[in-house]
Amino acid sequence: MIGHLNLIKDCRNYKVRLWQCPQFLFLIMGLFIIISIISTYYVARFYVEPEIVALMVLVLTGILFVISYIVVYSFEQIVISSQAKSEFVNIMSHELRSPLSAMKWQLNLIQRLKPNGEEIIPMLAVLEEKNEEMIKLSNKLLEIDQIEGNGLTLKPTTFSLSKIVDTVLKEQDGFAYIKDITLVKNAPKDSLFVIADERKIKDVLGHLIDNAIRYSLKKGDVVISIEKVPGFVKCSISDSGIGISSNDSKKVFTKFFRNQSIVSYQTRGTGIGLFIAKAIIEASGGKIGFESVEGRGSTFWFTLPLSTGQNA
Amino acid sequence: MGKKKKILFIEDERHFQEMLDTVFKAEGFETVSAFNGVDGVRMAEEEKPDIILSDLVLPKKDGFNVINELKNNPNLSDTPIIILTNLEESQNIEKVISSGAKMYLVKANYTLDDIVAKVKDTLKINNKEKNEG
Repeated sequence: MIGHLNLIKDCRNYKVRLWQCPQFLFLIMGLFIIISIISTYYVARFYVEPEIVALMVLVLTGILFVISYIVVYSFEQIVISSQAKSEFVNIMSHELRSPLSAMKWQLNLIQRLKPNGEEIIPMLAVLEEKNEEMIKLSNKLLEIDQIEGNGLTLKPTTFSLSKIVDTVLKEQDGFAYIKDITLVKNAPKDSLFVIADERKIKDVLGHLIDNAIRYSLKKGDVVISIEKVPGFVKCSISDSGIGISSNDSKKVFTKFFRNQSIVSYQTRGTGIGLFIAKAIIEASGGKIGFESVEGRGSTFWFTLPLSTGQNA
Repeated sequence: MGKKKKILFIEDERHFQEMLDTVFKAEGFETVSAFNGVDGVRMAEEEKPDIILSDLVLPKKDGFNVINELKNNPNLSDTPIIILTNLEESQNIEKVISSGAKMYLVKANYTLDDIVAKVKDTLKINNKEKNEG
């Protein structure tokens, strides 16, 4: 009994389901072999016909075959996840190197040019921005760890989604300006209140809007719409960007890039933003999804539970 | 020293682009910039730079394709290309060098001073080769 309890704990440590856990499978296999031997002995005692014994051995072999298949399948999963992890480390090191080398170069430039007064301010702004980028990245890493471990820790409050959208739009204004993108907001006059973790929802919105701007290759609009649907508030972000191919659409919310290298993605990005966004929205009781036409653009949307109290 | 040396940057990150531009201008280079691979190849044809610094992760056309196209263009095949990226060296260096790039530099491992020195070195070596040949 104690052994059994430890087994469940071990499997939890491995972060795999019970039927994928080596110790559990080994125990089942052992028990099964013992039962097979005993039952074969008894069956052979009562039924003398060799056909019945042969049939029984056949069935037992079949079951053993299935268990072996599960063992092999679990092993395969471990190999795939280990490959994905190493790809992830590769992508993350690229993502970390980017702000770090920008800081290194900027410091080098300051030492070289010895700017004074006004001249140093834009240079410090670059350092500040890159520093902020690194902080956000480390927060994302911790969030991934939380999602995979004991789940995200959310601090739900009631807040106006429209207000958060305004704050994020202000933050993204500079990036949109560089990319020649106009940010448009469509929201009903009355504020719609939702129940969720305000800071985390702001991160999700920030990521979705950043993506919409990033993947817009030409001048255009990014439209953010807020509407009420039964029991929920729906927020959609539409761009006229490159869109997502049907091939890639299955992978959009998965954690790591596979098969394709960073180079072929042609833009920076960890590929963890949407994975985290999905986890946050789902943990908040909402849904997240997208519609996309390759070459035309994408619309990402999410819903959050409507707060009826403050919206009466 | 004669004519100013012309350098082309193919780099999509604005900050890197600006810093390279500042430092190479201060070193007396004439600079031209492209923000994606397609423009990079086009500008190389139009501007005929003495040397090209290119990233690998680029919009529209990645750095590997940029090198291949430039090296297959008879007018540009002699122009030295230095790859300046943050992608891990061990996985890409062979591919990049065999395609004809002169050097593979990881941004995080070099200061701007180092990069200037590498560019100057490359151009000098190139001149020597031309004189000898």
